[in-house]
Amino acid sequence: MIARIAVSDQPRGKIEEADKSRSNRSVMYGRLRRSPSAVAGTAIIAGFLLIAIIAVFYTPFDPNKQDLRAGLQGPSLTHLFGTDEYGRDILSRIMMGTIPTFSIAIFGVAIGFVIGVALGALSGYMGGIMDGLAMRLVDIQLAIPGIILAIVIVTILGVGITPLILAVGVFSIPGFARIARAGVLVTNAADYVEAAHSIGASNTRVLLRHVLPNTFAPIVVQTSLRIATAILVASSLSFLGLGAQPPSPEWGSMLSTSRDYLQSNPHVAVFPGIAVATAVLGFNLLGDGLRDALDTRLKM
Amino acid sequence: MHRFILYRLLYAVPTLVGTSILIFVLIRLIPGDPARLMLGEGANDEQVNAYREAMGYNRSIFTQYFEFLKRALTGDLGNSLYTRRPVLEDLGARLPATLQLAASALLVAFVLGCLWGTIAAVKRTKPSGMISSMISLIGISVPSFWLALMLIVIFAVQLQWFPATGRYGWDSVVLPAVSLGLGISAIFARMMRSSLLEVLSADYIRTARAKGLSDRSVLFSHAMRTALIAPITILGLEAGSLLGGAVVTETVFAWPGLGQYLMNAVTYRDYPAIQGVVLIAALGFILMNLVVDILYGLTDPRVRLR
Repeated sequence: MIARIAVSDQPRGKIEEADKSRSNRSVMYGRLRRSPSAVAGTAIIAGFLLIAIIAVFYTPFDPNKQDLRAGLQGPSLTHLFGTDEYGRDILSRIMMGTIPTFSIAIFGVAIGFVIGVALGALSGYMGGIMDGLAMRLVDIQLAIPGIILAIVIVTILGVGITPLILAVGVFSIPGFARIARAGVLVTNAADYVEAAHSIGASNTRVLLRHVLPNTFAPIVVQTSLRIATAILVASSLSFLGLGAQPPSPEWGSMLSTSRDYLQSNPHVAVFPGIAVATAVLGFNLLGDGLRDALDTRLKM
Repeated sequence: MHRFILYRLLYAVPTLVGTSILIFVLIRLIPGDPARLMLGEGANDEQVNAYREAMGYNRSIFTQYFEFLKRALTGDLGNSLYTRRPVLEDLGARLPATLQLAASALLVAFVLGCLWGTIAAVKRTKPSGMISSMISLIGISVPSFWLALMLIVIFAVQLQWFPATGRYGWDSVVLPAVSLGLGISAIFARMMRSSLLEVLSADYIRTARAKGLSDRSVLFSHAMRTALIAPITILGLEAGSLLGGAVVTETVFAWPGLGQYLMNAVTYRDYPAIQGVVLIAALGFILMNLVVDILYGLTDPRVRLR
């Protein structure tokens, strides 16, 4: 360390800070790599993202092309997952369905993330009336069961993918707000925040540069777990006929139409369901792994 | 103690009022004219206007809210546009089915969750413990409506052990309760696992072991008693959210509860009915939270001091 300081023209504090942050980051990555949950979760999510990219260019069959003569065929070498009531290839539809399913969940959670973290961080940082008001708002939203609130929002905005994204977004706000607020409250009491204030840093700078980055660990964990929940909520709404509409190959929508053929051709329901469960499992595993890697308290 | 209960009760009031405002606003944002929906397509403009005037739809939004609140407090939630009966009467007829499903699902979730959580904690490093942890993770990942479909295929269609839909005898609740409870069991399992791990490393457990008690005796007579407090605490919270959260399961199994009523209401744009279900679900959730808070304060003096 002494040698490095001697050859560097940077102030000592900066080098130590860079060293520390580098080592913290490498420790975190090391933990992530060693966590079976994180590795499995990342592999599953990467697999689905790869499928989504491939589906843009190639699917074994046209996912929306109907062939009534080939309707409701079981799994075979030609149609690995069989065909649906209109003779459409289920594998191709599941591949293509990755795009709307993941888009709804990721964009929806992104909306919840931005609004929720902003609300929670401001609430925790400002305190007083702002905190009281924001948290009462969160309490009020939490009082209405999430799926019911999502149903009401979709009823207001109409069915389709965009309303579904907004419903998922609203559904996700309280979780992020609470986590961000809790993190900010803890970080706010730290000495370095007081130091930043005392050297004249503005509130915005302290919040954005010093407080928020240090509350990020639980928010990242929450994001992964929220995406998992968002996939479940979005597919549930589509299943109820309130989300993506046929012929969209969104997985929940596929499951919705499969209900009529359960007795004679259960395979129509099996594969889209496995897709939903695996994607949700991937984000849950990643969330668990991230929690283990980022939360030092758990390690203790 | 009385002050604590009073404080908790007062604390719930703003949430209740805020929730009622949110629900009132949300329902009014649903597109369509409730007066025209109520009177049907055959009604002329004069009749629609007269109805709007009678129902107060032409008054200011504030007046409408206070009228709504006044009526709601006296149990008048309006008439359903679809069934033409008072909404409260409809809700009263449907509530027992939802309560039965919620209670059964909670029972399934609690028993399975505590079992998995215990195995995962006690056999932490062994394959059975890891499998148990994995099962709970899968449980939380599988969509309840898909699990419901699979249970219907296997146990109703193939094996014919249970009815696929409807609410007839005791056996008709089994499949809906399992499909709804399995996902929630993962929450109990995680809670039980972490709680039991904490308890097992406590001094009094070491003392019990040092006295020469068997592992089984230490687990069941000492550790489990304390460890069960955490999952029992969340029983109430889960019950509150289940009242409204069973919508999808009720739809799959054609279970005649609040969820199915809500879905019908959404299909027919039945505003008073949607409003009624959301109000009851929110009220149930707030009340369950209140009960849990008060019980928690009764059992743990530290909570009262906060």
